[in-house]
Amino acid sequence: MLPDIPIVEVRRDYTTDHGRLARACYLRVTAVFATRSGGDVERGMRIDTGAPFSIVPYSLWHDVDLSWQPLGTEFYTPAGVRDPDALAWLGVPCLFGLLQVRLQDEFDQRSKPLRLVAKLPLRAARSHLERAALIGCSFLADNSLTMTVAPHRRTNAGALRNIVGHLTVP
Amino acid sequence: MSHEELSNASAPTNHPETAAGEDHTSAGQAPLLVPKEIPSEEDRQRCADMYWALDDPEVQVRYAGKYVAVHQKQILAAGEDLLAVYAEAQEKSGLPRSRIAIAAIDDDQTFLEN
Repeated sequence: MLPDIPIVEVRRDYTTDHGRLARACYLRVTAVFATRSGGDVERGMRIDTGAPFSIVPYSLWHDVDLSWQPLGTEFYTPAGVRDPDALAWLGVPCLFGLLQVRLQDEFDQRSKPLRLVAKLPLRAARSHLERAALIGCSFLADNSLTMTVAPHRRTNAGALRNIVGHLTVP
Repeated sequence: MSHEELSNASAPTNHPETAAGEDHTSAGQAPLLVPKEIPSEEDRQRCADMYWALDDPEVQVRYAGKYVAVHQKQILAAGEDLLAVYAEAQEKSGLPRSRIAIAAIDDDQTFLEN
């Protein structure tokens, strides 16, 4: 099993009207999902540790027909109050579900199965994020992953280029 | 969440690789499947195609903001509707979905909108 999953930095350099660099970037790992027909499908997932939950967009979980199990359709607050707006993403109501994923490096080595608890939107969002599955903070906690990121150590060699860190799988 | 929305989520799918009549009501109750530990040769080819599409500078420019369907470094179809992209790619190539890689190509929105 692969213990360290490379984190790739995807960047794009813009410039300001003052001629200054405006570098935009995000972090990506590759995840492999199981479809209900028994096949595998891979997608780049954006790491967003500021997001409490992972998001698997409608066009992925529904259109690709991923294998998942329901965990709920509503959230209750810690005080036991039903919160009808809590289980939503970009204004789209969601299901709450569990998927099993493996993370993969660019040499096709795969991690052990990991729990991905995620919001599953009930329709496509009108956002570029519809194309971007998100790994939220809970994924790291649920799987006891250690995330190490050092952008100044970005690699620049062949298939390993643009790697800025690792997710360490225990 | 309305009943209508839940009902829509349970609508039967028409995917070629799914049995006719299956719906997402049963999907939620089906066994939770796990991706293979060792990828097949088909999986490896598909991943290589996805990485190629995500890295190729020409693909980035030409297909920004779209899904691209790829097989052996050839773009089979591209568009904003994933199901339509799959369908066009399958029609053009005669390949099953399992041999077609999908890559979501970034556009400026990806970087400029938080």
